[in-house]
Amino acid sequence: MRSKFNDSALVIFANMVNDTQGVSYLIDQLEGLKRFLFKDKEGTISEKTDVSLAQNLLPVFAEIEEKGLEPATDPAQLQFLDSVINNLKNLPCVKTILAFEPSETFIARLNSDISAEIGQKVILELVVDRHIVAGAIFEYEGKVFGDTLEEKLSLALARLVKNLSQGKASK
Amino acid sequence: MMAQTGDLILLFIVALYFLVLLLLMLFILFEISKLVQKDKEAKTAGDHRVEILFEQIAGRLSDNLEKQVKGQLAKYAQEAQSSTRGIAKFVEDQQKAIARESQFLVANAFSRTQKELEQYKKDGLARIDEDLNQIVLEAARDILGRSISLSEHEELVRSALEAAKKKRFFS
Repeated sequence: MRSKFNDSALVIFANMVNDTQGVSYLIDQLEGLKRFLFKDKEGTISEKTDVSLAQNLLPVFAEIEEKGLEPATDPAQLQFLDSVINNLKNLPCVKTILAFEPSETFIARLNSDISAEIGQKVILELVVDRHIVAGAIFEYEGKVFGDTLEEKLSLALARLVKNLSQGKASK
Repeated sequence: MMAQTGDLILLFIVALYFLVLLLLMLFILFEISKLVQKDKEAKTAGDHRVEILFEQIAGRLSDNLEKQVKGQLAKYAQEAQSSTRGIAKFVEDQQKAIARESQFLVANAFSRTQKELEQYKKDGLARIDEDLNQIVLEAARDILGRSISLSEHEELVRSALEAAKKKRFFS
């Protein structure tokens, strides 16, 4: 059952991740939380998991529980977790090819910029390809946009070779 | 006694008759032998004549045959000679034709080989150019890639994103 509470919780969880690697890791963690349910223990999910809750999930569940966005019963909590996992799997994806290994900060900033441009939270599928030399290639909804140093280099080289051969020919 | 004389006369007449008969037979035999002899002599003379005639005829025939054979042989020899001359001429003509044909084929093959060689050189040079381009491009990529700092990389990615936004790539 989808509610405004769920939507807010989904946003909170979605904002935790920026790339596909992060999404996979979070989904694994959330799947792991399910085993703490139906153990005849009352309370919130974080209470039920106690010390087993990962460090990165502590502040998130604290916020959700503080805002009253988390259901109280085991079945509802299970549904809640499945709903979060589903939402994470269905986040739109933008494939981004870079020539270097970006830092987490940079990934977060890039994700924020692209999500703002698209108008919704997206996940970046990051690929490192040193052949592009520098710049980036973006793939979204079947379209491709590239602005790389490799393209500029190839063009410049082709022009140079052409000039050289024309120069040779004229001799 | 009269009867006995009559018998004797009769006997005498019969004996005389037989004697005459005998003589007649002898005479006839003598004549026949004479005739046979004559005939033999005539046959011999005739045979001899036939022989001579045959020899004459055979001689004439063999002369004739010899002449004819000689004549025919001479004719064949002449035909063979003219035929040989004809064959020799034919062979000579064919040799000339073959020589001309060979010269043409050699010239043709040479010209074709030259053209193929020129093309091969062109293709080879084009391949070398391409390979060189590739080598230079790879080297440039490698050098540039290593010489670009992290902040420069990040800047170039932001620049690529701005270019994508300008082109309304994400809308």
